[in-house]
Amino acid sequence: MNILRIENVEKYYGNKSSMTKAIDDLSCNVDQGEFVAIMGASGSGKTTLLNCISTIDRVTSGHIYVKGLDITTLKSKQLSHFRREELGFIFQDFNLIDTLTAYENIALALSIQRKEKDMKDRIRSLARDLDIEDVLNNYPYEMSGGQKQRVAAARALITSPSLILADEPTGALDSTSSRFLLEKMLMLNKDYKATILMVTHDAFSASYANRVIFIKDGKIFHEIYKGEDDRKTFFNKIIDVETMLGGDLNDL
Amino acid sequence: MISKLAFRNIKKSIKDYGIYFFTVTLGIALFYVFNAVESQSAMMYITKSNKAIIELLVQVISGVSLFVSGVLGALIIYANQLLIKRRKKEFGIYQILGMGKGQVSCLLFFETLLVGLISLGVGLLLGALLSQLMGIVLVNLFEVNLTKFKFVFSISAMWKSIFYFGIMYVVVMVFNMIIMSRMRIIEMLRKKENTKLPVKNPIIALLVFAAGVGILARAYYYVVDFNQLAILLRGDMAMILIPIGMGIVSTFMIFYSLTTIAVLIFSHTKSYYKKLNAFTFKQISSQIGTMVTAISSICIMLFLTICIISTALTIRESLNSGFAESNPVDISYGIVLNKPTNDIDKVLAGIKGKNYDYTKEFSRYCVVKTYEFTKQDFNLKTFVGKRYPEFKNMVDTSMKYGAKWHAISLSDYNKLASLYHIKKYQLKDDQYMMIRTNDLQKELFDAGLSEGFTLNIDGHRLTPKYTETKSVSLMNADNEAMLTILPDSALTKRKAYQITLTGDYKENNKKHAERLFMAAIRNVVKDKDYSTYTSKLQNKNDNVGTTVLVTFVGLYLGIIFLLASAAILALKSLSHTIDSQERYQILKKIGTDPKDISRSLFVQNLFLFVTPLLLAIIHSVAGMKFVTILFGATNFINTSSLIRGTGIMVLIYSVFYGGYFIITHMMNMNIIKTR
Ligand SMILES: Nc1ncnc2c1ncn2[C@@H]1O[C@H](COP(=O)(O)OP(=O)(O)OP(=O)(O)O)[C@@H](O)[C@H]1O
Ligand SMILES: [Mg+2]
Repeated sequence: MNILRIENVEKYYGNKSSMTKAIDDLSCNVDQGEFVAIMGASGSGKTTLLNCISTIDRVTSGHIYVKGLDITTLKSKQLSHFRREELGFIFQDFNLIDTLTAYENIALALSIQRKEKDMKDRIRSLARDLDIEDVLNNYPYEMSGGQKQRVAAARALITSPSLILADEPTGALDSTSSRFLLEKMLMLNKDYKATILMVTHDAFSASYANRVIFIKDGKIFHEIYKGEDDRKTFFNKIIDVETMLGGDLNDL
Repeated sequence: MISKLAFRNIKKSIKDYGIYFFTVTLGIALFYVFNAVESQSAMMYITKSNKAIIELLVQVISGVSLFVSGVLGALIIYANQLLIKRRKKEFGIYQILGMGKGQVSCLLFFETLLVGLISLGVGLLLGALLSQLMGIVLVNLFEVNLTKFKFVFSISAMWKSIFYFGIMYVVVMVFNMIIMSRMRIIEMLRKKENTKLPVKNPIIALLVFAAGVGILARAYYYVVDFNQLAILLRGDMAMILIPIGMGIVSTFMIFYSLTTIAVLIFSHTKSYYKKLNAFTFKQISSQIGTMVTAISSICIMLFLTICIISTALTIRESLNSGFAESNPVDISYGIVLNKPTNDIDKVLAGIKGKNYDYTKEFSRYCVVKTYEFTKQDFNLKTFVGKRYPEFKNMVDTSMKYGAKWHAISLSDYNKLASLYHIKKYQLKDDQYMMIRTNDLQKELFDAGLSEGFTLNIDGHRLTPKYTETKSVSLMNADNEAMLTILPDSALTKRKAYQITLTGDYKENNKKHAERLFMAAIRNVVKDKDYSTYTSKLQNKNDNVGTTVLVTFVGLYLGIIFLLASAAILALKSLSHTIDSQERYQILKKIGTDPKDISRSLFVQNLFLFVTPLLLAIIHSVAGMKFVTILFGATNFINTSSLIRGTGIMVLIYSVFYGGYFIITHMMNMNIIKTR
């Protein structure tokens, strides 16, 4: 079953005189329980695509269906309801609230959904998994970039959303914590049947996915499936595509 | 280039801080209006006594204006600093782009100049319009005939406003220059780290808070307890500064420690993690925590406003409502006789003849005799008897200055009572009673009566009929505070020391009637006698004067204070919301219900506006108690007018303070919506 269906989406920025086509007639489907990685050069429209799916931004034309519901036509009240109930979003620039501690930031995701039950235990155990237990009482400005990213991940994952949108979630992490986070996402994907859409620049992270979509200038350029391969083989395949695509991706 | 940039910047900030520009403009307008009162009076015919009142009013207002300009100046400087701090980054970027420091200062100078000119211009214009309204109010209050409506513009008030506010803006510019020259680019660009609480250590916070509450309680006790106050002020009225100082310090201490204590308490409750509570709470505490001095000053200003406005209105209400009651007749005219006599006709011969006959000119009247007690009749010290120690001070002073006590016969009193439409009394031949026209010496005389003091008048032994003095509103020529009523039988051997004619003029034109009467009494008094009178007409003029003085000055001060504090709060709230925009964006991104966000904003704003008000209200309860003690003995304040005065004060408050609160909330909502 398609959990996400993107039909002929276009997104323009700017006015008539100077217009950027961030997404150019893009269509694709994502099945329930898929783990999709999106790769592409800087400025190719990845964040824009995620923003459109997460309804933070509006499409210029086209439709996006989540569980059959056309989210491009939702009103603002329904939009926030949709984001709250269905989505977990890990932002490229963390988006933690600077006046709240790590713990409070994570708790916020639960409390705006009115899911305060077992809050403490759930946050503790997730924090243990993501190795941020020690910084739970710190404010964002008292944390390293990687810690912030993991707190942001914890905030997205704590509500067990059915669709996780992650914009370079491992961008600021060392390889150990990258792996932690990816394993955690994989676990959510396997055990909780969460669908994941992850933007990444790095082939290692992409190799955790079932499918990798390559985007160039707002269009789908290529996509490869993991199929029965193990992660190592898939990783090599991704590297192959990257080299094959040459120039565009080499300068990432 | 720079002036163009300055224009653009102002346009941008007017959108965000319009409420501040509005306040300054309104402040200038009010400043003009009140200082223009003088030229208002020039255009109308005003009686001599009213002229004196208006002169006094003008004097008081120019004194008060100094104070007002201080408050408005503080508002402008404070607001300006806040705006600069907020624009640090912008100025840093200008410099990185190659603008010199001098140029940035120049830009700032232009901006301040422009804002100053605009607010002054608009303020004066608005003031000129409002001032016409003021003219109408004055005309109505003094009941003068306005022959022709004329647009009055006071040049002197205009120059005064320009001078005062010009100086303020020059000070602001100097301040700006100093701030600019001190700032380094790196500081300007650095993102502000999230704000900390004024005190970290909760134990210290608790101690400070407890000490603050303690000091405050002591200060309250000083001012609400009559005896405490009497002891404190015995030496020097300036001692009142002690409880005031204590109040100010403790207010500061309470706000200094408040947020830390709130964090301590609230972060451990369950509801902390409900909805946006944690976020909202952090917003509130960071806001209040970073403006301890400002919020303490606001609290004190609000307290002053409440007291000033309600006192002014209460006095006004008392004067107005008490007027009819305390002036039941047109005139009361008394002749104090050098040689006591009972021959009324002879004494009043001058106004009972060909030229003037009061029995014809008056529609209703009565003539009463007042008697003076000798030292043997009445001695204050023996009167209070064994309760003397309680009233030692009062009694000793009275005796030292040889205060005299007077009496009236029961039948004369009852004649007056029927003229005044007040309660009549009955006495047996061995009884007497006392009436009071104000509460100054109520306790003292009640004490003597309850001791059952026996009067001895020419062999008549009289005992008090009542154990307390009775309050009576007598429009008496000599405004006796305490008067003894004796049965007629006890006074047969006495001669009157004063003869008083009391009544209403027959003529409807009271002004004319009074002029005739005043002319007639000019040659009534003989050799060593002397006369006194109180007239309803004159009392009314005095009354209007006092009312105008008190109301104008009270409202002028009160409203400026109120505007200034509300504007600072609004400004703080708006800039805090602008600073927090990113946080609201994040909340939206993670799917927070928009209703929860607006509720959070509302609650933040509510706390900001209500916290200082709450403490100010508590202060005011003590403050008003102090005021009632201060005026307690006079007729200026009574309970019902206190209630009415306070009622109007609450109304004014709801309009101004509530208005600022609502507008601020709407502007806050707009800030997070549009960006
Ligand atoms: N708010 C905006 N206004 C105008 N143009 C924008 C806006 N956001 C993005 N763009 C443009 O749209 C294009 C796609 O941007 P997007 O952020 O989606 O890139 P990206 O693929 O996420 O890049 P990166 O890997 O660097 O994060 C870029 O050319 C960018 O300049
Ligand atoms: Mg991006």
